[in-house]
Amino acid sequence: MNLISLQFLVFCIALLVLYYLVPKRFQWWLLLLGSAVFFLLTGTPYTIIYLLISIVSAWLAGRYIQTQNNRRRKRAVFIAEIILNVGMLAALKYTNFLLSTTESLVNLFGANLSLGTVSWVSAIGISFYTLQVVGYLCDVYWGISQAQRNPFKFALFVSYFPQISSGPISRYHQLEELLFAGHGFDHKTVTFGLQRMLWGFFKKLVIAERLTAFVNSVYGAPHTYQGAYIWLGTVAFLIQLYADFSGNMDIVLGLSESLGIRLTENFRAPLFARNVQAFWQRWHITLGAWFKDYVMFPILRSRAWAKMGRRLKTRFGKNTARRIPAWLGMLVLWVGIGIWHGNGWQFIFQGLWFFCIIVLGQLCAPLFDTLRRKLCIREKSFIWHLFQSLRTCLLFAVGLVFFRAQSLNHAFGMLFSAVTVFNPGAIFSVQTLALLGGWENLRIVLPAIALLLFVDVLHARGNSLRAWAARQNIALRWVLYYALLFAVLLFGMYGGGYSPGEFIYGGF
Amino acid sequence: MDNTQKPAWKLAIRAILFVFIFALLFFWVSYLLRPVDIYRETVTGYYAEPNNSLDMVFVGGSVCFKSWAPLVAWDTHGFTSYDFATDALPPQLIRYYVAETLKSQSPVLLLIDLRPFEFGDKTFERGIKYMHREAALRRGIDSFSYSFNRLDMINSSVPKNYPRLQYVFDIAKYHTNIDKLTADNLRYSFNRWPSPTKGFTILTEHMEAVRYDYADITETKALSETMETLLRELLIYLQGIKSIQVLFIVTPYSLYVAEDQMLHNEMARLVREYGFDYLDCNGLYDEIGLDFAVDYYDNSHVNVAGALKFTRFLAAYLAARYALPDRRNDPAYETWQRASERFATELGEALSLLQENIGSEGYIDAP
Repeated sequence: MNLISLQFLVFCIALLVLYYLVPKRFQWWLLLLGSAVFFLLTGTPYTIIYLLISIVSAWLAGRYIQTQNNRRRKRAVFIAEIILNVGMLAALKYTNFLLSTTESLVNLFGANLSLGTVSWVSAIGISFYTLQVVGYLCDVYWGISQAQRNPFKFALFVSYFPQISSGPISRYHQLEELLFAGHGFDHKTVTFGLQRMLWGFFKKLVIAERLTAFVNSVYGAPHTYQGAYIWLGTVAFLIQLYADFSGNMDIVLGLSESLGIRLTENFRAPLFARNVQAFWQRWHITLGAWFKDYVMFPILRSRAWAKMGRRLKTRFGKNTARRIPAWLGMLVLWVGIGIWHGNGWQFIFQGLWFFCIIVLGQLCAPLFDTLRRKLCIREKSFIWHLFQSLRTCLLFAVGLVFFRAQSLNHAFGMLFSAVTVFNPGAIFSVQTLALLGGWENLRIVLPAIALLLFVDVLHARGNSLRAWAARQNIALRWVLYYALLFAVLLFGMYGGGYSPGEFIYGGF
Repeated sequence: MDNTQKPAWKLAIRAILFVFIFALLFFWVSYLLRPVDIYRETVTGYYAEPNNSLDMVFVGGSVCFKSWAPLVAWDTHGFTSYDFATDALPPQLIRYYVAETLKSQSPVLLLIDLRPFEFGDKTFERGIKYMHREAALRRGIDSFSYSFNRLDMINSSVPKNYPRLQYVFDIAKYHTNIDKLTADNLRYSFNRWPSPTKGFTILTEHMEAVRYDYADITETKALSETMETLLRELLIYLQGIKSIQVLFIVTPYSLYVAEDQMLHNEMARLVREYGFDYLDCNGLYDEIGLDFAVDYYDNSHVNVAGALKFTRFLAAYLAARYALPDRRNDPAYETWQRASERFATELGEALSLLQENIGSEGYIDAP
C-alpha cells in the first residue's frame, strides 16, 4: 500500500472513523491491528517475521534488563540484543555491500574471487524501527525509560503504521503516553492533521514528482549531462528530496496528529539554515538526534575518549583536547549516518563530506567573520543571511550527489564534471527546458516551490498557517482547503499511465 | 478557533457539507477536464434531451451515429430518436448504455446494434482483447455522468488488472488537460450539452465499396463463447424490461464475407430465441437504395448520402411496425422542428461537399 494511493486514503479514513468510535481503552488495539494490516499490505508479507523477531526479543530483553540486578548479565543481554537487531539490519541490507567490498579488496591482490550476491528481502522500515528498538533498549539500560510490561503495547511502539516505513524515529518515553492513552475526538486536532496530510500530498505530487524526470535524466546519464546540467540537476534534486521527504513527513505526522498522537518533527525549514551543521539540525532531525544520543554521546562519554582527551590536553593544550575527541566522535556519527543511508561507498563518502564541511565550517568561522566585517556587512543583514543560506544549500546539495549517484565513481565523475566543464549557457538551453518538462511543467512547479519556501519562511518565524486559517471565517477557510485539494488533484503528477514513485526515504 | 467547542451534530453537518461541496466541485472539474470530441458530444447531447422526450434510442457502436440521422426520421415520420452510441463500443457495455437510456427516457423502441458482437467475435482472439481495448473502454465509459450505473459498468467491464480507480475517477487521467482547456470544455462542464444533430455525425468523404450478396446463406456459425455469453446476458437483461420493444439490427456494410452472414444468422437465432425482433440490412441494399460507388465512407460505415438513404428506409420500416408517434404537429416538440430545419441546411451543404469529393465519377442520388 503506497502512501500515495487511494487505497491508503481509504484505509486512513476508515481507521480514523473507527478510532474515534471504539472505546478509548481499545484505541491502541485498533492501531496495532491497523499497523499489522498496513505492514502486510505494504511490504512482502513474510518479512513480518523480522519485525516480530525484533519486537519479541527486544521486549523480553527490556523486561530482563529492567528486572535483573546483576549488572554483568544485564550488560550481556543488552549487548546481545543490540547485536541481534543491528545484525539483522546489517545482514538484510548490507550483505551485498560486504560481499562486493571483500571481493574488490581480495581481487586487488590479483585474486579472482567471485562471491556473488544475495537477494534477501528486508522488511519495510527496518532501518527506522531497528533504531527505535535500539533506542528503547538503551533507554531501559540507562534507566531513562521503564521497560514496557505489555508485549502488544511494545509491538505497537515498534510497528506504529504511520511512521514505520519512513520515520520519524521516535523515542519510547516520548511516545509511550500518547500512544497508549485514549484520545477523544477533537475537531481541531483532526482537521489540523488532515490539513497537514494534504500539504504533504501537495509537496510530493506537485513539486517532487514534477522534478523527478529532470533529476533522473541528469543522474541517469552523467556522461551526457555535464557541467551546468549537474549543478542544476543537483539543486533540483535537493528541492525534490526536500519536497518528497518533508511531504512524506507531513503525511505521516498529519495522520498521526489526527489520531491525537503528535510525533516528533523531522524538518524545521532546513533550506534557511546558515551552516551545514544547523542544516542537519533541521533536516531529518530524528535521525541526527538518534545518532547523537545513542552513538556519539556514549562514545564521547566513554573511558577511552576521556583518556584520549587527557593525553591530548597534556600534549597540545586545552583547545585541541576539547576539539579532537569531539571531532572523532562526530566522524563516527557521520560514517554511521552515511552507512544508514545505503549500502555503498558513496553513502559513507556522503557522511564524510558532511563531517569535513562541518569541521571546516568550525575552523573557518573566524575567517568568515573577519571577511564579513571587512566587507562592512552586518551580521543580521538580509544579504548575509541569504548568502549563508545559499552557501549552505549548495554545500548540502554537493553532499547529495553521493546520495543520488549510482556509485562512488559516478559521484566523483559528476563532481569532477561539475567543476571542470564550463557551460553555463546550458542552463538556459532548449534542451534543459525540454528536460524540465517545458514551460507547461515549470509554470506549475516554480510557483509551487515559491509557495513551499513561503510557508517555510512563515514556519521559521514561528507562524502557523493552520492556526491562521482556523481563525478565518468558514467561507475563506473552506476556499483555502478546496484550493489546496484541487491544486493537488489538478497539478499533481499521478494517474493516466504515470505512477508516482515511492517516497525516497520510504525504502529504507 | 470558532468550532473547537461546537456540538458534535454541528460538526457532523459541517463535515457532510464540506464533503458534499467537494463532491460537487470534483464532479464539475472532472467533467470540465474531459476531452471534448464527437464521442463525448454524442453522450452529453443525450443527457441534454428532456426527460421522456425520445420515442426511439439507437444504442451501439459507431454505425449508429454514422448511419442513423434522427432529424431525417423526424422530417419523414415525425418520431424523435437519438444515437446513444460511441465508437467501437465494447459489447459488454451495451447493457449499461441501455440502463443509462432508461434512467431519463421511456422510448417506445430500443434499437440495438449487433455489430459489436460481430466485431468482438471476429477480431482479437475472439473477443477478449477486443472487449478490453483501453481506448475503446475509455471512449465508452469516460463520457458518462457519475452514477452507480457507471460504477457497475466499470466493475463488470474493466479487467481487474487495469487501474479501475482511474476509470471511476477519470480526473486521474484527464487532469493534465488543465493546460488545454477551451471554451468548449466550459460548455460541457456539466456533462450535458445539446447535440444539434441528435447524436448523428455527418461524414462527407467517400470510398468505392464492393457489394457482396450473401443473403441466401442460411447456415449459422457459432459465436465465440465470450460473445455468446455477453449477448445472452444482454437478452436476458432486456427481457426484464417489459415496457419497451427492442429491435436488434445489423446495419449495411461492405467487406462483407460469407462467414459474417453465418454469424448474423446465429445472432438472429439467439435474438429470436429470446423473443426479440431482428433485422439484417445487408440483405436489403436494393430496398435501401445504396449505391456502393458513392454511399460509403469506409468498409464499415456509410457516408452522409448513405445515412440519408438508410435512415429513410429504416424510419419507414420502424414506423410501419412499431407504434412510433408522429409528433410534427405537437407544439411541445417545436425545438425538434427547428433543429430539423437547421439540419436540412447543414445536410444540403454536406451533400454538396460530398458531391465535390466524389467529383464527376459519380453523383449522389439525393433529394
